[in-house]
Amino acid sequence: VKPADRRRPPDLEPDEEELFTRVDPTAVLPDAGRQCPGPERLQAAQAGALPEEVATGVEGHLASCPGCRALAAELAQWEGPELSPHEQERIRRRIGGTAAGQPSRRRGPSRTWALTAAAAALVAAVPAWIAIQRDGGTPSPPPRGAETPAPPALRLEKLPVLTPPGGSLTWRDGGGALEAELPRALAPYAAGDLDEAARRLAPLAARHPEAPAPGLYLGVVHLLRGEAAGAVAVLERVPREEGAFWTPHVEWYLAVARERAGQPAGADGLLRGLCGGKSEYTGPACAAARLRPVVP
Amino acid sequence: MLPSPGSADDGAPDPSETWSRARGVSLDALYTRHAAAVFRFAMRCVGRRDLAEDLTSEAFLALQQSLDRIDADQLPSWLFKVVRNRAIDHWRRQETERKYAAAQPPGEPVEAVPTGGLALLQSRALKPVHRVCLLLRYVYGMGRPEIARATGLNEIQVKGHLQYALDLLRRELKEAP
Repeated sequence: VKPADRRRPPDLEPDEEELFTRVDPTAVLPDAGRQCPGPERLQAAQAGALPEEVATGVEGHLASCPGCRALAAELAQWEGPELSPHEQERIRRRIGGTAAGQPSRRRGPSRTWALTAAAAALVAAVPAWIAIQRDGGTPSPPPRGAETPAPPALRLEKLPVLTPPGGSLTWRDGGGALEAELPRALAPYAAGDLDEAARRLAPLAARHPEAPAPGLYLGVVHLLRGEAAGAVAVLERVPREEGAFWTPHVEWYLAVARERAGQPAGADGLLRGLCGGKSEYTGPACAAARLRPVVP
Repeated sequence: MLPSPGSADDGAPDPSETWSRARGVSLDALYTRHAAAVFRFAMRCVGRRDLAEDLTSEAFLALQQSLDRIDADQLPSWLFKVVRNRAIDHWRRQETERKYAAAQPPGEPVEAVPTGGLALLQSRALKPVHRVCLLLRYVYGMGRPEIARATGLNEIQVKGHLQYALDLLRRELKEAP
């Protein structure tokens, strides 16, 4: 492996050069680390949280990669980060949502009524979304009554092309390339050409996992094409930083995707969080979170 | 707000309150006791704070549904099991997506021998968290934000750990020939 192939931290300081030079990963990582499963999968393998076929792949890799063996050994000894007070509170709010803060379903309004009310609340709370539908959004089926087995209670609307306050800086690209590429990738999205949008957004999302926008829009494209499971996979990978501009958008569309992919419990948790927060999704999330039972 | 552990002690069983009555322990008390451990386990399982938060919430929501069927001594392992199952689903989706999105031809497996450089980062004078940060930065070439995401630490913590570790390594290097 040529030294040029070696990955270099983009924020390496001058006083770190010496150490960086002394550590030679070309002898430690096969293929300069391109095949390494990464710390997340190494830890998940240790916790028994990987599907069997993936776990086998990780084991096989460890056998031939001294770098990953060293990292796995350290990860196994480290107890991990702590739950912050803020996260504590958010989780408490999520699990407390149905338990204490809201009326029991048995005593509450009927499901049929609740569904209609939720739909009404959604329409009332987000008039902007309705307007968006005109510029090429796929119309979504209206919520149905309780006689339908599992109607999606969350309405799918096309997310407009948004610019975060503060403009380009908040795309969080770290290089400037995304800033130029994203508008190009979003042009077919805005025009309603979902296939072309997916073709342009997928590589962008893969190259910029730290930036929420490409993954978010790719997830919405999957949803609009009716590919709920694909949308879940994409949206779960989008970073959701506390208080970030994109976070409520990602949480809402992930909730929609999870519900449509048959994971109502995963949707409920997000909806409770959104309901307890302050965003344009607060109203619809509260309305939707109230009506659906918790599924283990 | 959740009622305090002692608030649902006796009286006729009310279906709407069973969640807080089962086995005489409230969900709130169970949450207080186990949340930190469940979150840490969830972090190990998925390696992302936001997802770990989701999984922790889901585990306790599931517990809330099953509280009357579960003994306190089945905890926290019951919660871990919920987290683990959800995590496996998560990784299964990730793998499908990964194969679909970025199918790369696998390279030849290479047998390699640890070098002095790697050993340098494994100083026993450091804690595991320091060694994790060092390896991710100097072997895997990650920037500080990337290390923060991968470990669930914040960037300030990562910077602090690296600074501490670097200072210590420099001292060790000076003493070594």
